[in-house]
Amino acid sequence: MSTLDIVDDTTGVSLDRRALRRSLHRVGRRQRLLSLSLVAPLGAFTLVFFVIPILAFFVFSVANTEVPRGLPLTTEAIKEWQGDGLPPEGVFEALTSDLENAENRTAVIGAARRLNYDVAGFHGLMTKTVSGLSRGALEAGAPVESSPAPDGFSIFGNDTTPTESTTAKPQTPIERLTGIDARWSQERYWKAIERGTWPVTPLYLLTALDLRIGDEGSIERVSPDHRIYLTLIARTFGVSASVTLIALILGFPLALFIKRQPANRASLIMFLVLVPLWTSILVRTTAWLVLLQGEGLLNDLIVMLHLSETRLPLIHNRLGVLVAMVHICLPFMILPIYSVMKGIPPSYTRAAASLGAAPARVFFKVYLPLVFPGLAAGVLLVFIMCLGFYVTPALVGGPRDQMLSYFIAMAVNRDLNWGLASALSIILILIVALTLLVFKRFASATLAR
Amino acid sequence: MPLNRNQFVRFVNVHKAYDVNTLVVKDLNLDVANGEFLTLLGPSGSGKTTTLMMLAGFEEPTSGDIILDGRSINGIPAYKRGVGMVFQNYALFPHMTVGENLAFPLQARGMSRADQKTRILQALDMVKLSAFADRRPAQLSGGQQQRVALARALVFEPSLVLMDEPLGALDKQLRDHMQLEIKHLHQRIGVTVVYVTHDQTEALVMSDRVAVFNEGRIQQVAAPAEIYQNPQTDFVAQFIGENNRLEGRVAEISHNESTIVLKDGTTVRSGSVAGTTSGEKRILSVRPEAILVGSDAANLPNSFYGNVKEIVYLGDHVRLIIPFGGPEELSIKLTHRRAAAISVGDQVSFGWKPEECRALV
Ligand SMILES: Nc1ncnc2c1ncn2[C@@H]1O[C@H](COP(=O)(O)OP(=O)(O)O)[C@@H](O)[C@H]1O
Ligand SMILES: [Mg+2]
Repeated sequence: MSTLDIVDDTTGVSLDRRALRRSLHRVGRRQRLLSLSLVAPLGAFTLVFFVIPILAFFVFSVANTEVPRGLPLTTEAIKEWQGDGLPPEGVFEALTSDLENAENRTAVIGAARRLNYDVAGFHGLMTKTVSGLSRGALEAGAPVESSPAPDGFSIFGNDTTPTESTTAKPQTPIERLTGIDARWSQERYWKAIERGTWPVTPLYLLTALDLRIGDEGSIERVSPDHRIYLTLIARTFGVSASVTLIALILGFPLALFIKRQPANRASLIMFLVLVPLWTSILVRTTAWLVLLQGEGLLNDLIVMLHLSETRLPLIHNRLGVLVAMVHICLPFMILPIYSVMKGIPPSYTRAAASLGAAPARVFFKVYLPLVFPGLAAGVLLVFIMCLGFYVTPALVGGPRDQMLSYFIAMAVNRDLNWGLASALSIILILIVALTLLVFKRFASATLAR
Repeated sequence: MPLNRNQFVRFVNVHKAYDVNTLVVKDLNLDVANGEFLTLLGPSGSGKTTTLMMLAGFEEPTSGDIILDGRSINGIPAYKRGVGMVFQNYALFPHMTVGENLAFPLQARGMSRADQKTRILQALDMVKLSAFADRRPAQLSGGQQQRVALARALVFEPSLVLMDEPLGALDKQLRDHMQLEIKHLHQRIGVTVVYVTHDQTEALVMSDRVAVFNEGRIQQVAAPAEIYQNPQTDFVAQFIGENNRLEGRVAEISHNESTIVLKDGTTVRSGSVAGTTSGEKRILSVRPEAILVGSDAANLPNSFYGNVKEIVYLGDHVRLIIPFGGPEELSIKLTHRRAAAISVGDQVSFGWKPEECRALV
């Protein structure tokens, strides 16, 4: 074979191969595009309704735009301040101008609300100052009937008692502000404004963990009577864990029982297990309300049978929450356990018995490990579902039984505090992620054993 | 040691019903000798598994006794019977390694760790899987899993091992191989085996004796050669090996032969007819390889002529299909050399010895 031949040969082969690769790639790309187009709607849905909201939570939970928007001049001026003692006079002047700017009133209200999250009473201080400044301006100009709180503040104004302006109008901005309210001579209010000008704020995340930035700038726990969120997180975790445990204790034997029934009876029982899912959670919760309340059916029965002299407090407490939540979650525990059990051929337990294992050994050494994936799925499903429960604790629980979701909803609906709502949501997401992580570890460790 | 070596396992008048409508096992009387390899052979649904499950302790007989080593085991739970069992899907515990699977029966017996280890190594060695102790069942091939299941059923040295279609999930080649391997294992360790299969070849290859089941009843219990050459019922003849069936009536009976008249009036002489009376309907059974063709057939007591309807090529041999005895056809097994001169439509002479055919019920 000559050298020329080899070269010809190889080029021939390599040409073919290149063409082949190209056509393979073309075919592969068509298939990839096809399969991608099948999941595209789901992908879009997930992006719009899941990924983006979660990202938004992360953004909202640290967003810090209210103060720069409401107090633009102050934001600029306070950069000069080193943070020791009171800020320079220019800052006072900037704040005065910001508060006197009637066109920016809505944004000022926003800034006041934001600062109030940081230092309690700041909203009142701002309200008082704005009305004080405008009164001062009015007294300086044409005398008009004294107006109450300026526009927009009236809905919040709970401590807008106008100060008697008996003295003559002070000359310096410092005197004007401290004259309206002496709190302007306290460093902590200015520090709060300064923190409000940061690009991002840890305020909401700290609040969600019962922490705050103290007057010295260090992170500290909030005063004991303001600590609610850690208890709340612990309670959410605890209630979810209890419900999961009870559902497991009730659900596992039931799944075992159903599995041992003849096929047609098993499907009937399974049908009964799933029937509650046909009605909404709200309806089922209300049904428990009817059953368990003081004048409810169960209490009627208890009194009728003389089991108790007084009507028992069965609802608006932890007991009611647990009963209703277990009821709602039970199908989600039974379903995965039962379906895994159904997939286990009887030959495994029979083999174990034929090898000389007594029933208890068969159960713990063979059956339980085989059902474990179902147990894990049920526990995970129910636990994560419970973490997000809202309506049920709200209806059948007392004030001390409300879970994280309730406070998230309250932050959004009542307080319009999206930052805190987002921070609490993130904590919820973190608990879920942590649970999944622990479970994955645990599951792989158990299976690898 | 049992009092009688031939009665290590006994089924005495055993009946079994799952519901009131059907008896799945009917009046079963069967003895299994110590060290014997007995196969329950029958079509699907004939009650083989049920019989095995009663012996293993997973089902209770509706009536009758099962006696193991001289003791009635009715009502004794499976885990106290000490009977090894191999399942069709192997039932290896997926969450344990091969070694742990084998340790399971030993742990249940409270054996010391050191003893367990030697036993496990021995058992794995026996099935040639010593290197696989740390693998999980899912990491093994079907044949290897099969061997692990075998080792697990034997590792605690039971005196009786039950196997329910253990080779059913393997491909043909591996199955043929495992048949011999299990047979040799049995010969080496001398354990009593009750084996269930619906594959007649498997039964013939492996067993000391075969019990043929049909619809919950034992048709015949005998050694493989006896079952094949001397089937006692039409079902056994039909189920095991290939068979030509010819319907007819008994005409004459002599002391060990009888004459059967087929539907078209052809008379055939047949051997060994037990308790026949004249005029009775019988089914003649002739194996395809028992029929001779050409000059060999000319001098036989049963000698006929017929036209070849079809020649079927089967690799190592061919089949001649010849219409015979009315509506029926005969299938005749021929070597290539003998078939070379024959083509479709030819008239050929064929026949068989009377003792090669039986008139069965
Ligand atoms: N657990 C059971 N419940 C009801 N009927 C059964 C059960 N097991 C087997 N049968 C019935 O008993 C008959 C014999 O079954 P089986 O012993 O499994 O036969 P084989 O193993 O010979 O195929 C079949 O008709 C089957 O449907
Ligand atoms: Mg079977």
